Amino acid sequence: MLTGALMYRFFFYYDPDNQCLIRLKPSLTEWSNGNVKEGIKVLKYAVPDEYEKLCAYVDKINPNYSCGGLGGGCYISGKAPTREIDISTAYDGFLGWTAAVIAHETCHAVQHEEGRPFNETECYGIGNYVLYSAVVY
Amino acid sequence: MAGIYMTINIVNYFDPFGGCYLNIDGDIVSGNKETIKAAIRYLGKTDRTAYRNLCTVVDRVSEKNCIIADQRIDSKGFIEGLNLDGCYVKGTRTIYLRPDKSDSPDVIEGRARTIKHYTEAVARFWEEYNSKQ
Repeated sequence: MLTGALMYRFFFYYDPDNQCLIRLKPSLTEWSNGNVKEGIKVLKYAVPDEYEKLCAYVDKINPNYSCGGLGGGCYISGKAPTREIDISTAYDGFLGWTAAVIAHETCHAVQHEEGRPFNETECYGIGNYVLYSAVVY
Repeated sequence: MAGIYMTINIVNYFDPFGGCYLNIDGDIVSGNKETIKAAIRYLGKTDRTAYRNLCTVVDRVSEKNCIIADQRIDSKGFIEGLNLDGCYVKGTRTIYLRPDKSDSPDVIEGRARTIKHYTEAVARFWEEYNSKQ
């Protein structure tokens, strides 16, 4: 029972209201995956259109160091499964940035599924839109 | 009991009589966690309403530069964000403060004002969100 609760707490994001289930791989730099889960919640509450895309096009997040470097993200189209994005924002990163990186990599997952060529400009624009929508100053 | 209180207060902010517990993330390199705690105590002494509001709606105060724009799209906005005193990210209960090593009274009072300002933003966001549900 306890093991199941810990597995759920650390390695799954589940939102039954929006039928959203995302698996989170274990990572030493993310510890509990709390930062990534909080970043997903930023999208849910502040940028619902991007949250909808995340739930529709991504089913696994790899929070380990990847080609985007620490504080960045990566989407590798040839990697199986292709509905996986890499998010290495480190466990205590600024949550607005974590949300922006998740939305940026989701944008690449959408481009791949729709058979479109990768376009960084479009995805940087989406990350910027997330920051603009979510950060109050 | 006093030992537990002191231990918790080394890492975070704990006021058992005021019913307040806040996680505090300091920036070890360029920040000062103690002035965050001092600012919260200052708020408790000078503005009880703001203090109660803080303890109710916020669960973390973090010392981190704000990012309000992607530097590859809007470099001016990115730099502006780094220089902000603080910010709040919607959908969270975390307030961010720009790292500052100084422990002067002016910094403590300024941080108290910033914390109060963004506490109001947290409360406003969740009130609006809950009213739509």
